[in-house]
Amino acid sequence: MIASVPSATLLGARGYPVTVEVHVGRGLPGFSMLGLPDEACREARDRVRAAVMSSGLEWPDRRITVNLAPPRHRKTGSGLDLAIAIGVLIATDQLTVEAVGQLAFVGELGLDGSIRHVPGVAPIVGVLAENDWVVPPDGVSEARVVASGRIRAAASLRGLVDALSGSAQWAEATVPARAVVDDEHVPDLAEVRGQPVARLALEVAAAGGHHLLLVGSPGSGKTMLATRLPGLLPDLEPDVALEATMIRSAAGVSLPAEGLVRRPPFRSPHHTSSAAAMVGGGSHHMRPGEVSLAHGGVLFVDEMGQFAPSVLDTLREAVESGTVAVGRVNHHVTLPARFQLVGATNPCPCGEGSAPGSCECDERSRQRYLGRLSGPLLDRFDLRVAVARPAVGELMGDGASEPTAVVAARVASARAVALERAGVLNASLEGVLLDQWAIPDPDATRRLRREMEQGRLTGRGYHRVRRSARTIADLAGRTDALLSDEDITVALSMRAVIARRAHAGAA
Amino acid sequence: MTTADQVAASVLAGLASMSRRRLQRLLLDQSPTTALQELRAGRPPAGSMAMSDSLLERLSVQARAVDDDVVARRVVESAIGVAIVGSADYPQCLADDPERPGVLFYRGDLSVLDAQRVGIVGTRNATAAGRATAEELGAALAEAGICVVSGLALGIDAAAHRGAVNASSNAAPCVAVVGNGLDECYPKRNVRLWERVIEGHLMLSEWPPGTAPDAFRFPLRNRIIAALSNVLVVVESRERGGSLITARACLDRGIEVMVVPGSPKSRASAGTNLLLRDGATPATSVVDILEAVGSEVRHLPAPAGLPLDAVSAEIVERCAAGPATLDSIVADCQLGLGVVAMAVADLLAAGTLCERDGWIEVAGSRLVHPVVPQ
Repeated sequence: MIASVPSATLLGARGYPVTVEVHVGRGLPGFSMLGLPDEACREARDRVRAAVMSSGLEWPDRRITVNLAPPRHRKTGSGLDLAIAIGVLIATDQLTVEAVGQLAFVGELGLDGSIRHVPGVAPIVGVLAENDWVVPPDGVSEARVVASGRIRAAASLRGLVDALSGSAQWAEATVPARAVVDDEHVPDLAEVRGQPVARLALEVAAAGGHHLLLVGSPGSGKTMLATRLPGLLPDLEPDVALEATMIRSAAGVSLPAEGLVRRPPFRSPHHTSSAAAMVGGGSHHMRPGEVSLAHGGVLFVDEMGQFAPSVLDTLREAVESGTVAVGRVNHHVTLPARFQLVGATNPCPCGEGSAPGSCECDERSRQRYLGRLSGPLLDRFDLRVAVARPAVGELMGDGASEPTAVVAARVASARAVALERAGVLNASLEGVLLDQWAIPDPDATRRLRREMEQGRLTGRGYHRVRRSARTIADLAGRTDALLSDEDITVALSMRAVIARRAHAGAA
Repeated sequence: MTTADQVAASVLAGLASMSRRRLQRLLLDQSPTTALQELRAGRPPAGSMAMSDSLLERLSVQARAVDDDVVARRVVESAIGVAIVGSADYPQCLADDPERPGVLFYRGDLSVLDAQRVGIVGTRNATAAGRATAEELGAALAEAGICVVSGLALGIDAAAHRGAVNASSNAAPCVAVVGNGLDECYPKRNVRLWERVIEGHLMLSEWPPGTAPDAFRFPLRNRIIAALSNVLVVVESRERGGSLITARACLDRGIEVMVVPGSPKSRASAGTNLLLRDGATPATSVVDILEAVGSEVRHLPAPAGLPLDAVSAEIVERCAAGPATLDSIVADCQLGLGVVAMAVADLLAAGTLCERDGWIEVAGSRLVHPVVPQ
């Protein structure tokens, strides 16, 4: 007897349809699996057998052959368990073909017959969106985001078989109280005391989509500031939200209760992260990396100088293209990775105070330390801000700072102005559009000319300053094409740090 | 022309196990050639300082490993003079010092030391104002005919030398005492300054050419700076550091230590403020130092300052109290970011302030310019 059950497996952040074919026939009792299952998938044999037996169902003492078609793709993970079990039950006449129909199945089986959640339910269901699906209870919300067919939840194999054969009701597919999701609780900007320049830089970064580099000693609040950036960003566009949901689901990272990722994610990889952890990879299933998990949101790279140079290089490629292409011998996967980069670094190895006259480091080790950052990646930061520890008076004072909600409203209107004007955020203003919409007034032109003549501003820097000055003006409600001297000056003060050091070193 | 004694003294001065104290005692007791011969033969040289067998063995092995010709060639190639303690050309101002170097290597003219000498020392990691102060001191003292003594390290030392070598042609030459051999510049960043000091000024070391700038040599070098100074001026120093070693060496010798006062908030002035607490004399102007040396006080023109508007003046005042960031200026002066950024940018452009790594400092010297009656 033969059965055929639709399911899907995961590669990168996409699902691939898999037809699970089960043949039960004469021969020496045994179970063989074809179609390039990986280790976790091959172990389905024993899980399925135990789950069927402990669900009070019969396990055939006959020869069982499972084929995962198409056979040329590697099948990964335990998500095919449920489809295999259903196939065996159909092939042994414990379920009828009519009862199952074109239902597709995803889920891992426990030895007691329970059905467990697996990573990637959203992309797996999404690839056969027209089908009706049976998914683990925890996967219902994300499956509903992508499915156009009907989504059923099943918590155990026994319950599922009863529901299919009509002897019991389908389990109520309630939204589960799953893992607490952190991006619902973005910390508020009101908690940042003092630091007006860094606060403004954060606001400008949010409004213009500029990449931001924070330079400051430990305890100066770089992390505190960076974690507050997602709160200033608007909700994700629907298509980005869907992509972000797929990526998070595929990576096995917890999703919001309603399934869809609406708020910009915040990712903060540790500096020991490997290149594969950053861009994604793995030998078979190509788990999405940090740059993709940050898609639509913020990638916070703390202690930037401590990252391996090769990792920083992959980061740069992602920043440039908005995608990452991961290749292995058998697979190539392109994952979306359009994020806003926030870098943080100490000003010097001792970090203990970059204030002139108090640093412990000698000149050479200081230059070597920041030298690790120099180059094309550094060029990507429109905003480079020195962050200093706030004074005690500012920390203890009770003068409340502006809360996130107020700043986010300004950010939203500035973004609307920019999108209305040029169709892109100011960070992406190029060539003609930049010349058309970011014209320094005579005073500002004079200042820019002087900065360039004194070697403090490069040609590339000139464009970057105009972009961030455009955002500063937009935030202040000055939305005509002219940039005032003040806009330019404030923008200049936000891109000092490292460029001028290189200059000082050369002098 | 290098004599056999000078070559032998250079060899002895470069032996790893030869302490500075033992070296000068050894050279006072006998000629360098004899001492070197005895050592190489494995015999203790005559003298009042006892020597253990193991030390003798080490010195003997080290002495035998040196090729005299190589040492002689290095000395000649770099045009290095060798003054041996007790000889006629050994500088008189060092001859009476209890910790005088046994051999003094020099490039330049030793008669530079006949003038009044003022040591200017300070931290390598100085603030911009500290460097400007040292440079102004170096220039003004050199113009007043006073020989500036310093160590040619980064920061304050380099600034003092820069001031002195850039002074007018009839100003007094300066003296640099370094901690490595005179044939190679250290630190490399000072290479142009090093060359200018060699050209018209005087460079001293107690180490033979080819000696590397090891860390232990610099505190030793500091005692020579102290011994050469009639007055020592510490411009900036943290709570620990080489300048404080020099200051202590001066106090041991009864040499007056003067200190340029700095803000209590500035870490670069922590050490100098400690010295002030311990009774050092404040130096707030070049005139203070000239008076301490007993030199003729001449009128020194004050550099013209730009008139500042109220906002700029407030910002300059804030920066004078210690390095500031834009953040701290905005907070301390209760002004808007735009206003502060504009004013700071203008002050930076005018050279009143300077900026590094986001830290904004007053660029000018901390000295005042009292009007001196003609």
